[in-house]
Amino acid sequence: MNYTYPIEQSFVLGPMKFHVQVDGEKILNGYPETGFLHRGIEKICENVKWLGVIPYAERVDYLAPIHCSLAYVLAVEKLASIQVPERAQKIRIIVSEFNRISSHLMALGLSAKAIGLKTVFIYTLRDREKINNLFEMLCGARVLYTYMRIGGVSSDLTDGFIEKSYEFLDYIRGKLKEYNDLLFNNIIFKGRTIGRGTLSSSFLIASGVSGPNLRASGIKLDVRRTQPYSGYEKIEFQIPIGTKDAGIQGDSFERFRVRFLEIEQSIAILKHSLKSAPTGDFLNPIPKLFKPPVGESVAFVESPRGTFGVFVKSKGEKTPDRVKFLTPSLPLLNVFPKILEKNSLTDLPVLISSLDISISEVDR
Amino acid sequence: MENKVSEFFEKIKSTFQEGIIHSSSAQAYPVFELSESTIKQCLSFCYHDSSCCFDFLEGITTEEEVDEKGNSSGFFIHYHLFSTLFSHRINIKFLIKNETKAKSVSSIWLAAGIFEKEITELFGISFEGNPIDREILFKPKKDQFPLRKSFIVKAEDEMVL
Repeated sequence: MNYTYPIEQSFVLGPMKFHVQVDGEKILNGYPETGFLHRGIEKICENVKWLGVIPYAERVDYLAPIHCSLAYVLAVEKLASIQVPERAQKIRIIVSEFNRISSHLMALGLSAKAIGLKTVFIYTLRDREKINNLFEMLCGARVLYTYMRIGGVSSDLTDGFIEKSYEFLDYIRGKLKEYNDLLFNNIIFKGRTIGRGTLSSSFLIASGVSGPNLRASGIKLDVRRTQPYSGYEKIEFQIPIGTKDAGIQGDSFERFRVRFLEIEQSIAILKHSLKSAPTGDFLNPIPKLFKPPVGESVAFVESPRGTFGVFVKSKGEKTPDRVKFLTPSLPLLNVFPKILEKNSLTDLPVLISSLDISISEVDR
Repeated sequence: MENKVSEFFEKIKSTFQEGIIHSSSAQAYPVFELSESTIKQCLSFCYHDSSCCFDFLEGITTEEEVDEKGNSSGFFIHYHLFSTLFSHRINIKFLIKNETKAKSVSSIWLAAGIFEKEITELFGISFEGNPIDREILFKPKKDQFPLRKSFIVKAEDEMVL
């Protein structure tokens, strides 16, 4: 029998259909249908000025807008050889890590909801709201910030931001223990995720999958370590990977656990960055009519979903000739048939939410 | 890192010296522009050679080249490769002139199938041997490919979108 999941599902971030062929409850094969959120962002970027691309770049992944705009400004700065002040680099790390915690909280909440643990979902939204408050304090926006600038950031850390950040970090550290008990020590959560949707590292590498999904399969790969940007090379932090301790390396449980452990690492990075933020300028201003030299460049960052890249090409004009977003969610479409195969239909929400796919990244 | 980059950079340069049109290794990110006839051979070399080991395809970028009068002179296709073993990157590109066909590299990297399909929908370039037969973004209208320079977004199109 063929079955199609409707376009809007609570366990996926965006509109997407799933077509599955089932025998009883067992999935024989399945594939996703995308394209419902295509906005033509790359085409729009060719028709706006270099600085005007930033708000559109943020809409590529509305749960990790900081990383999208950061990759773009890094690519342009590389192309035009623009030096970024040290304070601005530190601020970029701070906002990136806050955004990573926010995105991972949403991913954990959605996965808990897919299993039926709705309380955890409400808790993650509550805590995510506190990060939104911090961003509002910093730049006046709660979801899409337009905070990055070519040459730095739009404004300096506001009065009281550092104190409020420390307050939040102490608060979330306490809450992580609660999440650990509610999810990873929960017999229902373990039963629904351990050994389900196991993906090997060799298959994921061949499929082009990066980020927590790949790390859960035991591969220690993180752009912040392999090709550091914005001063990550000066910060000590661990890269959590999937182990066999709790279940099977590369299963849904490990994917959730890696994201959870990454929140802990982000807290450590934030504490270090907030303490060591140097004084100085937050922006190296660019000319009003900015025209980078003729050429092309690529920059990669570690977004909450994996390696996020931006390719830019300039013909020396006031608008880009080409802007291409290399997103980590698009290759996840390769994984769907494999992860669904031979699993139960009731496991589909858990399996899909464990990948943390962002449809806005796929469609653009 | 710099030594590793220079090692595989020189190796690719010496192996495909006749097919290389342009090369640069600025900012530890080597870029090779190759002729269309050598591209698949070079990509296969990058995957299999022990000093390269580019086992991870991060994405494929396409851009249209237009002359001063605005006429299309072809499409550049960039392959963004990464080695999970050595943590180094490379960009290999080639120009398709006067046609809209290329060979698929999905037999080397499984990931390529989805990237190539997206290019087919946005630029109208078909990839010989691509295994994906369903649409990813949309079914393109005949000769209307949105990321081509000749495609102008009009007000009435915006209403439809």
